[in-house]
Amino acid sequence: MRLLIVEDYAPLRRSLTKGLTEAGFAVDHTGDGEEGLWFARSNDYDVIILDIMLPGLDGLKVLDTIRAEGKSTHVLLLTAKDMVADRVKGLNIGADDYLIKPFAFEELLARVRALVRREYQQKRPCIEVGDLCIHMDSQRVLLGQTSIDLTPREYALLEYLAMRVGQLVSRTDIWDHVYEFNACATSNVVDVYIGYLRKKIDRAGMTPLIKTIRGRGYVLGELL
Amino acid sequence: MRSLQTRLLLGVVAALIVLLAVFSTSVYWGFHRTLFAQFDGVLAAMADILSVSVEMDANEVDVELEVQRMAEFNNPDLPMNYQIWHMDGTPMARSPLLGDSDLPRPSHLNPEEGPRFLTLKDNRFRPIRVVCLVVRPKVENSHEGEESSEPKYFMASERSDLVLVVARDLSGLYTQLDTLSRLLMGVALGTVVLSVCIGFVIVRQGLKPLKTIAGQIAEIGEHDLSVRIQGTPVPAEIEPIQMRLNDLLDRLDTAFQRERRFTADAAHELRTPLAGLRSILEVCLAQPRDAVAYREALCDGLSVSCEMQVMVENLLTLARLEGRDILLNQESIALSDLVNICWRPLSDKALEKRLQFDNEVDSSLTCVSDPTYLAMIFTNCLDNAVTYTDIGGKIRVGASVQTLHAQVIFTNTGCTLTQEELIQCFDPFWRADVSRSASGNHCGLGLALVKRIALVLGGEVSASVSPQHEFSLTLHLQSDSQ
Repeated sequence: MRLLIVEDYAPLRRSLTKGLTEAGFAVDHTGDGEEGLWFARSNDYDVIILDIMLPGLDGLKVLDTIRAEGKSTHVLLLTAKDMVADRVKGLNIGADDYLIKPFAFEELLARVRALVRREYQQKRPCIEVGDLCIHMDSQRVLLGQTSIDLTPREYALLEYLAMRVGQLVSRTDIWDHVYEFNACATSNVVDVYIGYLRKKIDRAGMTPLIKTIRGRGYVLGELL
Repeated sequence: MRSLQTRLLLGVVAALIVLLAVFSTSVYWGFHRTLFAQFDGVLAAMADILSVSVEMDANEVDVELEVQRMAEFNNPDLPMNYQIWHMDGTPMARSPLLGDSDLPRPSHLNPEEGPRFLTLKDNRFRPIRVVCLVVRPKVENSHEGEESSEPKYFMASERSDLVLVVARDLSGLYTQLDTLSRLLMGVALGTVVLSVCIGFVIVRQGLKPLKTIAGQIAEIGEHDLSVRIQGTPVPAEIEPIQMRLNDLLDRLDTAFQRERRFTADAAHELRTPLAGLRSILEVCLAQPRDAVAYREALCDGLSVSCEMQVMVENLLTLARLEGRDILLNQESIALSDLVNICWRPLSDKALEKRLQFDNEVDSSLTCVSDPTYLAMIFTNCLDNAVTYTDIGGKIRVGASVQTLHAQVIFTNTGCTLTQEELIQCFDPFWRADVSRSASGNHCGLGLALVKRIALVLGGEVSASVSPQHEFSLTLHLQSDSQ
């Protein structure tokens, strides 16, 4: 899943980026409101974590602008403003959630994951495809009763495919939602990681869980 | 202490009682004198009638029969009696109703002094009013051979003088006076009771605006100091109290709002670095890491802690300055040297922004002030300039010193502040840039500190923006010597 963090306080921005990246998200980040708006316009993020008081352009204006332009990306406002009026204002403009500083990183992570599930209409934190069970809260993947070790990138790819289970997912979609803006990767990296995943989750003699639709992309499970 | 209402009521009632007592006493004694004067007049008239009707015949004294039969001497209910004595005390005649009893006889009576009025008690201990006088009886002239239809009289000699005492019962008069006194007391008592009731209502009505104000004050809570005391119409005596109370509420409201804003701003400013610190630590602890990663996280945390420490120290300094809880150490300071000392830690940051710095202060200029606090002013002014000057912009510092007065001006280019923003620039936590990314170390407290320190040093600071977008901070300081 791909996130954008727009936070001007550098230590917080760095730690959030690090924590969310380690949690399996592809994270873009900026400390400037105008640059944040540019990122939001240019990419299809799953969740934007947006501070309110920003240099250049404040967070509420960024949110207002992207909503006015028809973008429905889930936005979590992150701010030191704790008054009810501030929260109401942010939510009325179009924010999907609101978190007041200081906060527990786990809570932020849980809220981000909830917003991601809402993005893909997934109510449960666990997605099952045949024998494959993906626990998104603990990032554990079980095949039957066997736990499968995945690298963060492999897990991110599988989670994205699982979120869109039964749907055709193009390579571009995977690129947009699993890789951050500054990712140094070649165009066939998606195919490479799909190969890695297949080796870990497919069993000999069984129907492969990830199917290739030639020239169009991949689908996890049966195409609906 | 009794209530104002009780005190006013008691005062009014006490004054009324005194007035009524004086009035009633005056009325009573006025009537008393008038009635006694009338009584004495009647008594004197009867004495006059008696005195001219006393006849002496062969050492016998008698009163004319018509006089004896007068109704006044024959009414047993309100008896009027007389008795006549010879000067030697021998009773000569008395009124019929006296029977055998005597009226009191004055011991010494001077024929020259005229009638004497006395209030005495009769033998039945009833109060009587008596008039005593010396009368000279008339003697009938009865010479033989002279015939006349009317007897002729002549006055007896001085040796025949008699003492006449006429007494009249005072019961009726005393009854009248008693009735009058009871009436006056009743009226006075009724008036007092009525005045207490009316006074209570009047005082209560009069003090109603005070009660209204007290009620309004009681309803004002510490979270609702915007309420003002209102009353229509307010009496002239209460109006100054209402105005002063509203003035006090204005000042309290302003102080509370400033306090709340300051506290909220301080909390708000601390939230972000606190969030950063917590996030750094939680992310670091989320999974096992190598020593380098832990060290990196600790360094980040330390950096944030240092920022927070600067802010807290600035807040403490501001609080101490507000309370003037500081000691000043006055000494002669070379202004140019102090500018250079304060600039040194900022020079790297200025270099990054390619800023040009000109210290135009004459090296001979000195002023007498506290070097530590003056350095804080200079550092904050220069830090503010470095933070907000445009890339490649210019900062310059100038100064002039006159007798007892020094002026230092910090100017930087690239100012985008409006006049409205200029007014706010000395408010704590106010920043031209709402974010904290460009705030440096002072967290919106720098210019607030400058203003407070300048005041403590006996000076002042002002800000201005030129049409060329140059921002100037002008510091005026008191200085004892050049």
